[in-house]
Amino acid sequence: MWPRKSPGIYDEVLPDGGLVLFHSEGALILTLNQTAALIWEYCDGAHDVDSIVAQLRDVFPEASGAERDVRSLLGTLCAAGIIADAPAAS
Amino acid sequence: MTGVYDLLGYHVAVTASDDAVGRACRSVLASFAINGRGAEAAVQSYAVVRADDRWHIETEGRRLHSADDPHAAVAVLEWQLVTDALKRRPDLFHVHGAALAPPELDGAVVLAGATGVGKTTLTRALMDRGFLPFGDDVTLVDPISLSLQPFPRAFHLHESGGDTPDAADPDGLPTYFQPPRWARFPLPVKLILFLVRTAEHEARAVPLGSADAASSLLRQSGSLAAAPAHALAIAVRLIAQAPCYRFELSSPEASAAVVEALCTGWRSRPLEARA
Repeated sequence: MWPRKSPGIYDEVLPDGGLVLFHSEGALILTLNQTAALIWEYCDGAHDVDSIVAQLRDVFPEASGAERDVRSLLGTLCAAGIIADAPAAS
Repeated sequence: MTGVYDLLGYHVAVTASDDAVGRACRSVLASFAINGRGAEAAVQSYAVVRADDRWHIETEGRRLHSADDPHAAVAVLEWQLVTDALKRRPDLFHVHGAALAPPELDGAVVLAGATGVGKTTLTRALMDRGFLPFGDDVTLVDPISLSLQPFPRAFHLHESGGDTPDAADPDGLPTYFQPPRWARFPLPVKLILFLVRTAEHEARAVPLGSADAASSLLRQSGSLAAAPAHALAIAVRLIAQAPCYRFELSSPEASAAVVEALCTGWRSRPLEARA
């Protein structure tokens, strides 16, 4: 999967480094913590899941379960229609 | 009978074909009235007209709404004017809630919450303690200064919530209340409370982190759907400026005492220290 942000998504960085997302299509409001916000930044259609996991391990080398966290978050975002697979890159 | 009103710079003339309805319009819209100005000051005209045993709201020859009784017609007119005025000011960040300034007039507290939760009841209890309202149902924040903008719309009362109508105005509608005084100048938002009813017997304020504060504020924002990027940016700046709490209501008097104590607390910490 090459996750990419869906159209109609707005985001803003929170004072604590997290992120608030708004999906205009479903009027959905979602907040992400700092780690999830970093994963969100890599949802650009140019990084696949493995490369996002690698990026996360680079930034947080002490973090255990990075792959599980990335896949869990991407699954949640995908189910909410906030990201989709980028067909051109896959 | 014609009255001229200023709603956020939107100047309107309102004419009623019936004297009693005209007086009711004047009462409900009293705090927006432009004194000493004629209909020529208005950019838009609205009329409440009786025809075919019904009451109709018209503007510039177009029929907008119809109602079975005059009270309902005035209520619909008031809603239409507010809606039209807000559409012309998409720059202002709109929160569904009340806002007040403490007697010291050194900041503003926003009381956000769902319809019927008790915003108006708590607002009136705070007014009994000398607080001045910026507005009751529609709270507007300037996007640059993050200050509350006065919007003196008559309070809408919910009798089931224990509100009592304004007995001082015989021309007014039983479901409206005009506060005797309003906050008249913009003041910075220093506290945001999200009101909830719980089974707890004591009022208490629970601090919210950034994520909960932002999502709670955006859920009560009337600006989000129309201008999402604008609304997100302002909401995040607001929660950085003002502490946010989930506020569990008890009796109006006890709840007002807790709000008053929170307002006292902001004086011990400069605004900049929290940004």
